[in-house]
Amino acid sequence: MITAILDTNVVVQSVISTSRAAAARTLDAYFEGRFHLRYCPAMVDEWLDVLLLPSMRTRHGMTDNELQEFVASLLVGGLPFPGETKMSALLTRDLTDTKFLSVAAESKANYLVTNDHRHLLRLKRFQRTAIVTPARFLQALAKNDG
Amino acid sequence: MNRVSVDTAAPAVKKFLRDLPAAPNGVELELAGQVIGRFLPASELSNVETTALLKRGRELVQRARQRNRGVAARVLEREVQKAVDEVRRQRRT
Repeated sequence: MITAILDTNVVVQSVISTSRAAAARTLDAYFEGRFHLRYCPAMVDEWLDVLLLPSMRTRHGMTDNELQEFVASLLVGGLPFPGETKMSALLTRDLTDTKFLSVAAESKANYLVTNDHRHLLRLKRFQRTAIVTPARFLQALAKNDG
Repeated sequence: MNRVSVDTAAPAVKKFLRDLPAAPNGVELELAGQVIGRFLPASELSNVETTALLKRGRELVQRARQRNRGVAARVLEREVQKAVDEVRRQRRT
């Protein structure tokens, strides 16, 4: 089974975008059981912090309890990791991105799925983890399914 | 297994509990040198519970997406990036 880490921008976009968007189809693939998630507490906190912003609340319309249910639905199909492996911020040029690389190192996930062209996508790969856009990830899933 | 709801617990308690299952095999809770319990990750739930949670998550997402029908993808992408940047800016300071 393919394993993947989802950047916050992919998680949030997958919730509010139309079903045709690559991020949305990525989340749909998760709900269909086509891959397993890898995550850490800092990632979950960030998903919630962004989804709780007023601008995002207007877009998704979920109550606090519904948001917790949504996050629980992400945790249930994944495995948690500490996300505490020290990473140099020089790697990503952004301290807030290092948690994704920590989980990549700890979990040896196949993919880190992100829309972050500025910091993460330019790395292309970190240890055993390929860093890809949602569109590229969907191609990899299709290949794996076929 | 008994179930206790923490829906009405203080935010600090919820955060503590959410941060606990940071290990694939679960976490043992120790008090005064004694193990008083084990906290298992959600991935250890039964198939029935897992299926129900996934179904609910999917319903919530489908409803959320309906709200934004007709909104250009580029507008939503920009808004998401702005929101993520806002949260990360707060974390850096």
